[in-house]
Amino acid sequence: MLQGTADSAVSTGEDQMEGMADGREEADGQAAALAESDVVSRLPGVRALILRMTHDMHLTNDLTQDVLIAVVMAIREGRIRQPEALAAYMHQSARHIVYAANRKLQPVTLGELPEQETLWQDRQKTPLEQCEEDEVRRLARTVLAELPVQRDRDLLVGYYVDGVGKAELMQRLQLSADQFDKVIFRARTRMRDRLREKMQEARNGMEGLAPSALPTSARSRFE
Amino acid sequence: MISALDNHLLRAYLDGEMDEATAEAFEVLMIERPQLAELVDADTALQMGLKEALATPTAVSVAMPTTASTASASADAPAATAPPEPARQPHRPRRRLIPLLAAASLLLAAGVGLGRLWLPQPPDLVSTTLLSVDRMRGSVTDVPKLRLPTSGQIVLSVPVAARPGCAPRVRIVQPGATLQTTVTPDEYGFANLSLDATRLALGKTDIVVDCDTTQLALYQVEFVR
Repeated sequence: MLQGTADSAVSTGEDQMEGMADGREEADGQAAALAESDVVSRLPGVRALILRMTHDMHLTNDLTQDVLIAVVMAIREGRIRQPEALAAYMHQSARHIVYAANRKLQPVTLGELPEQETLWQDRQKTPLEQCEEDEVRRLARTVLAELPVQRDRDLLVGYYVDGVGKAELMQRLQLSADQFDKVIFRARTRMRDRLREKMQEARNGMEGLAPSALPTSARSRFE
Repeated sequence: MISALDNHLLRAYLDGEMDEATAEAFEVLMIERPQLAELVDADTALQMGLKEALATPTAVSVAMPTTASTASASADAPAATAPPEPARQPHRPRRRLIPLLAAASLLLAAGVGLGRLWLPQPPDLVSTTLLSVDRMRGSVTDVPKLRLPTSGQIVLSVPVAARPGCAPRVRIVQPGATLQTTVTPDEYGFANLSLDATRLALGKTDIVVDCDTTQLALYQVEFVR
């Protein structure tokens, strides 16, 4: 049974956006223009957006799965007809689903999608998805420790942990805007690289395993 | 490939410098381009990871090395220098606790904030008015007029002649009230007295400098608005 939230069902099912079809009669001809793989390939962006909004990796996983279901169903029902509109549709779906989750709306049945589990499990995971929360903490600390200057470390802690504004930090640490941006950029890039390395390690570790032995962690939060 | 423009947009988005419409447009672009999403993920992971890592005292000592040498050492072998992670907690119970903890934190923060508002906080700087009793600058026959503010602190600067073996005293004599204190004149021979302007009345006032029973000086001034 595939489910979503009431809000997502309404927003993805009734709202009309540019590029979406008005009637079901157009569905057959236009659904072919969009493949479900197009949806899957855009999930990393959806996931990044949802994580940005929720700061909860497990909830992000669940809600991203909901977006996948909602959008695939919209394609099948012909409610999206142009590939150019797909990202915007997914964006709106993601936002509605997060808002609904925040309001703790009761889930309602969206419909059946038997191959959804396959779609979800076969997708290429993002580097961050490969990490557990304690691993993310360890990587973040490593990135912080790798910054050679104490001032840069203070900047990172002030910006990311204490939530101090850019202008105040620049004044406090006597940095120009350019210097500030460079430190943040360097840290962000290093974090991305660390996450990539972690993903590569995970892949290398799994290469020797038979596919049937691979763990499958993806599951619906409504199971 | 991340271009300079991409980086500019990314920075503006992550710094919250975009208006809502622009931010939404960037989010759509991010959905189209996984490379951008990867950097947004890295930023979010950095924020989440550091917040959680620095929430424990053991993490702080590692994450905030006090010298460059310790930082270099950590960079060389970060995994080795990192303290062992605490045992992972089950996610679901923790998530149920988060709203309670958040609510408690908010209440606490609000209470502390209100408490700070109610408690009198000393300001960093206080503006004062300097009133100088200096007969040298006017005619000896005129009574100098000193402009007294309606409120706030004033500093009254009074010439005090030094005399060996004597602790001079300054008295401000007004009808109905006399304010007095022992003073130590500065190297220029002035005693600077701080008091609230409301303690003084308008009109002519005698400022007496004496030592024990001996009057050393008498200055007559007039406080005016």
